[in-house]
Amino acid sequence: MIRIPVLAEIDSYHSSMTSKRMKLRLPALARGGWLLTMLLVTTLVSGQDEPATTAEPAVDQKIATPIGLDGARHLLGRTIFGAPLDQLQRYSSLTREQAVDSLLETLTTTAVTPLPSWASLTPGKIQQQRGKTAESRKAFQKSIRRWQGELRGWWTRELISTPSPLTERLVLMWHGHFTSEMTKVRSAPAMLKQNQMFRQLCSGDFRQLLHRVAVDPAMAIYLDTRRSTREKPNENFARELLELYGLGEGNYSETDIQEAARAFTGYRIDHRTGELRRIRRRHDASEKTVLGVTGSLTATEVVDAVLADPACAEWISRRFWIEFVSPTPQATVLKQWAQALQQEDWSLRALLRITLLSDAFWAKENQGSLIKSPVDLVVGTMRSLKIEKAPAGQALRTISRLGQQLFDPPNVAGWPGGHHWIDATTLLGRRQFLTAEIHNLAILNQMQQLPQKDLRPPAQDAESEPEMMSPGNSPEMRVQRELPRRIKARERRRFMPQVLRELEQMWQSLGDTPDARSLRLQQWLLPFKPVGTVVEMGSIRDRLGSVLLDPTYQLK
Amino acid sequence: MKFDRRAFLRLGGAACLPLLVPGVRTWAIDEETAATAALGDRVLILVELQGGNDGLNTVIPFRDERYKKLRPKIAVPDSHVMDLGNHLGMNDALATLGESWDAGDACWILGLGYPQPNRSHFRSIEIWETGSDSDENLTDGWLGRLIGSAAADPKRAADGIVLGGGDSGPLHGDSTRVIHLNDPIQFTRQARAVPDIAHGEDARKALEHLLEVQTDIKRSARVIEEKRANAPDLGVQFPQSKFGKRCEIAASLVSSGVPCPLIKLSHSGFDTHTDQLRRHPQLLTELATGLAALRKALIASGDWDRVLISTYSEFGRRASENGSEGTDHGTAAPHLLLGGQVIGGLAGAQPDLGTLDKNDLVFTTDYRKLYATIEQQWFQLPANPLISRGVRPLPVLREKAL
Repeated sequence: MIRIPVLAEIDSYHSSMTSKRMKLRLPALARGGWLLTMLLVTTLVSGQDEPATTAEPAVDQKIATPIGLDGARHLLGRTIFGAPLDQLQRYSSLTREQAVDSLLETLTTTAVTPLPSWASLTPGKIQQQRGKTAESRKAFQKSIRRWQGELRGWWTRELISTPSPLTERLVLMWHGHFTSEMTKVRSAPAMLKQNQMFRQLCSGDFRQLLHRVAVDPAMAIYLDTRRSTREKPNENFARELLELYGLGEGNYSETDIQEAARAFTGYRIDHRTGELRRIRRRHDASEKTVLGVTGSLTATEVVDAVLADPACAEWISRRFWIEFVSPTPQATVLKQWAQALQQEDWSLRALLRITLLSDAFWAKENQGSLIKSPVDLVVGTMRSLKIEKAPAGQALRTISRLGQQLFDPPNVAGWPGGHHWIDATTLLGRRQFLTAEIHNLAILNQMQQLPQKDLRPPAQDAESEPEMMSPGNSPEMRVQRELPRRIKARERRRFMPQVLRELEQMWQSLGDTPDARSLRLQQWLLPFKPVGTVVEMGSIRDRLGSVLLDPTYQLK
Repeated sequence: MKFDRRAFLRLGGAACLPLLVPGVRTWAIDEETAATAALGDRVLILVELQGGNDGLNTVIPFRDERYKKLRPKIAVPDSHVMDLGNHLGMNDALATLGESWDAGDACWILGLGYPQPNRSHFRSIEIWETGSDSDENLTDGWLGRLIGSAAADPKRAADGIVLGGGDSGPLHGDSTRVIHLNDPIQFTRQARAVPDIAHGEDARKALEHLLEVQTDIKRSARVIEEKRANAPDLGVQFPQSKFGKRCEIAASLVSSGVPCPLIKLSHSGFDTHTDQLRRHPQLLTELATGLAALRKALIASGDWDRVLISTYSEFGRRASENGSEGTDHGTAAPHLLLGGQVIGGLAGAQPDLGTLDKNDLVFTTDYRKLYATIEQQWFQLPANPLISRGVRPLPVLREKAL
């Protein structure tokens, strides 16, 4: 009866010792693939009653039973932007722990979408392109703008079709936490480098992440570190490091900021390597005191002082709570998480596991308590309905119109999220996406699946927005090429029947009777019973449309 | 509770700053005593200068030697200063406002700020928008409270309209209905398709919020559509900048008689840590050309006497320049009032460059004097201790009954 200790331990996952032991025991389960997992689930589930009733029945039973379709929708909606029904069904038969561990196994550190062509240029080459003449400068400015669009398109494509959406979810979270706005940074290569850094470290060691952020070139441009000198320290980065990135307001003094700012003086971007470098004569090496640490501190030591402050781990735990659990963190739980994070050697993966296995995450009152971000809504809908081959440019424009311009959060605090996502304009925009644009995406998705010769060439798009990159570099690239956004009536007539056929197949697969199908459709897509009128008759298109337009679809 | 970064900060700060309680208490007392006066048909148009406008390069103490010493690289040269008298001048990037200044319906209120200034964008704009003291945390915006203390008017399209992005800020409040819109025509068309779903006290806060916004959309759209059907053509050319377009929408809403007492526009980019000599004049020019067109349009439509325009910003900027030809976050700054009832000129007092506090200006005029003016003289409401804090209004508006 090994399941008794396992269950007991799951309940006390806050203790780092037990979760470390659990990790040793569970990889076989997590890595063994679906078949093995299912077998184990069945064993666990079938025998749950007996041990569960001996200890704390309610809690243990809840944890040991399969999460069901509702649980799977909750977990996947919060972590991977939602999922197609078959994926939901696979998760529905797992316990909380199995589901979370399977999900964590998908984490990765690299993107699969081929990088834009300019990503291979060295910083030196890019400097060369700038040139000296007014004409070459002008051309360079133009390519900077094009690169920015391509970078946005690249990330959107990755969000829509990555095999590891959890990774992208974390990258997006860190992008909103350690903000940089491309409007100010301008350099798409620097923003890409930052984005890749987030991907590499998003579930790794937080200490490493914070250290890298402090010397990240895009950040140095965004918060003016690269211009800060011994004579005139610029406080911008020091302030945000303490206020937004590391500690939170109330945990430092103005003096801490001024002293920390002196530590961040003298850093410049080396135009040959593209990296940040400390220039001795510009750096203030005199003694400073930051958060009680005194010495001739440099950037590294100030970051260490931030990490040593007890408020830091709590601040990061708060970020995880707000991202994944609810808008209202509980201080006592944050303290527990913060402690566990430190005991787990600042492993963000461990913190994510703790978050996703917490009672708070699964509490009924917290389900459906978050408003979907534009990325959640657009990417999630596309992934759920399996229209991920549709052009990323179209999705990108919608996401941005709904208030989440990728690589350009509104200010240094990132997207405020929650209620702020929804106002009269964005709510109407969301409805527009779910009624009209989604059909276009479904048609474009069909068109994209045809052999290239059957398609007209991409139209000359004056705005030249997120084209993936110049076509024809490699066979994969040709497949990835973006289609034009306008759909002709002829194309609509040609492709809409296929869209509807696939919808009909999906509808038939939902259950045996129309009532069962209808219920399943709602369970798959909505966190609550619909509050509006859901079409109970007629075509799947109308039924699906009315479920998507129900206000509860905006929640996760 | 409003879920945003501010709430976030409050929760973080709650343990260390046990300051919420006194604020809440005075507020409760206040609500009991507040009279329910009507707001009439007066309109307040707020213009948020996002990022912290550099007051010293806006209204410039150009005759003061110390100004140029503090800013060897980024002082506005005398040739770009329009003399306003009192040794002060206006940055000539604002030249299009000259007509308003000459006509005597523009007033600069100098040295606005508060004690123990906070230099964080977010905290300081929160202080300005809630009307709190530096060490006090309030949730509702000051105009949210003002609306809450006046009589509700069911005929209103909304209590407040936020044009073109930005949050509700000072308009935020549990009892205020605020709509955000970019384009009125598209707005009314799309609103027709939104279903009417009744809602009430649902424990599911996020869902409640969605349904509330839906209801507001429907109601506002009905009113806006009806009014705009007979909107006058004002024959004014608005600048095609983002800010100019927002001013144009504001003009069309007011002139077509859409009933709404508060309109908020924002103009962003004022966080000029670098390259200020190039960027700041551009921002001011966009501001001035937009406001000048708005003024012209509202004079043409006969609405100018019922409109008051006021700028605000989280702070001014450091008196001394930084090493990047910019300025860091500072404290006190001047703000502009425009409107048919405004008594033109200068009000308040210019902070003294000789008595800086850590290179920052020391405020001369509590920012709530501006709020007291709007509350008691513009909307003619009784003084509410949580809005005006017992400070006296400034003599900047003609006394004319609603």
